[in-house]
Amino acid sequence: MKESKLDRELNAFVNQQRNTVVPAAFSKGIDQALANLPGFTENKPLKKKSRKWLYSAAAAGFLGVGILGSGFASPAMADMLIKVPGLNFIFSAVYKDVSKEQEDPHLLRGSQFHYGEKGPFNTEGVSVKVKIFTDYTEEVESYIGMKIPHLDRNADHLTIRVDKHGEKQFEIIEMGSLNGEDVVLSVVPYAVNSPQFEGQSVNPVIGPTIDISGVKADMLSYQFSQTDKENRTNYITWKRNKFTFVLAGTASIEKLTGIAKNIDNQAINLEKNK
Amino acid sequence: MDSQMELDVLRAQKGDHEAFTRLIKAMEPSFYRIASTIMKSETDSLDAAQETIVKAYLSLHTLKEPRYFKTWVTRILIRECMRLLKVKNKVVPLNLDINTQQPEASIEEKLDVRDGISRLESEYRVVISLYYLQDLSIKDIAEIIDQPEGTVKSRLSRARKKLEKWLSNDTEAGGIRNERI
Repeated sequence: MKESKLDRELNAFVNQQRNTVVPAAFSKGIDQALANLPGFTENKPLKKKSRKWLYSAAAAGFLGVGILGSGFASPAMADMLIKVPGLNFIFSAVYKDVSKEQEDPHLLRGSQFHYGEKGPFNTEGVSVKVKIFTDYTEEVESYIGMKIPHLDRNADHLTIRVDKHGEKQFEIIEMGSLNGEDVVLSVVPYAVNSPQFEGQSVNPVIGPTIDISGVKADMLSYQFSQTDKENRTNYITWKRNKFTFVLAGTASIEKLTGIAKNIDNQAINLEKNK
Repeated sequence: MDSQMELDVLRAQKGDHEAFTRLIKAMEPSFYRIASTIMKSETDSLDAAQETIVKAYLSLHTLKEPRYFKTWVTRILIRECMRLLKVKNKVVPLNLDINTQQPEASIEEKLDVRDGISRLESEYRVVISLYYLQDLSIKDIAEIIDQPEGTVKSRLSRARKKLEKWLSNDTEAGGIRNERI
């Protein structure tokens, strides 16, 4: 069969591409990503309940905090999502009902939260400066310009990522392992927009309201598997004074609630000691 | 996938970082080819690849069949590319005239296939990249992009038609100046 002009050009293009040497900058960036992987300098085996929290927040895009159960990200999914009403302040929580879909070990299910395309401060299109800290220190406070509630400093692998959206506009993502449970805490002072949640779940995602020192917190649970009840992501989200919090983890709601109360107490004390 | 790679997947799942590094470095050229075909800039390509690495690393334990590593990690990369494109609002709206988004090509100026691919919508760039540059089957592509095989075939066919039109500079048939994508 005669080769068409397009096929000739495509073949030439493919050959050229295959012979293209990967640019040094790209290769260096790959090495950098490998070197920066959480726990990569230690020779610990990956646990089943691994650092998925750490990775996802570390890998989150510049517009928000992406927390993914297992690499899920589907831009085309929005059309299929079920909108969930009735939350205290979250304006958007959606999920795709996968209860009738057969589970495939190679297909990834997950969930994520973010502040939408406009981000927490309506700074859409503005480049975000990302800074990573390996502990909660005065350096963090100095960079943000204020003290903020934080995860226990004894947490394993504590990493703090600060996204600077503008002058005094920060989104702080704290990641760590507390008593063997990976958790991520997002703290946004003076957020204009509220967090949005989306993902896949075999059950409705909204849980009961939780009382945290007199403040109503919303609970969401994305359950990814019918058979593996541990394969889930739980979220607690609430507001206290100037702070908007999202606490995420695979831990039980009871455990997460305990952590949330500790965080919230810090926010109360910060306000008192102002 | 070769047995060395499968072995490395098993090792990496047990926490062998060197094995994971080998896996990623083996995929580096593919990452570059795929990401640079889909994304609009080298920086964005690297962003997508870096995020893929982190996600792959920490969800590697969910991969139950090591032989599917390439497909699995490619799927993550494609999703990252699509997510970044969405986030950065770089997807060209469907009803937008192409000459408002891209520099015009004159009648005399011949458009090569590389330019043509870069002018395709992202969904077409993905299938072109996977089919031609990665030599993946329709079935594999369908699995990677979570679409039926028929959709992959029709996207490939449409992408080819667009490229053919642009390559031929067929202005009568609605060439590059008037083509609506």
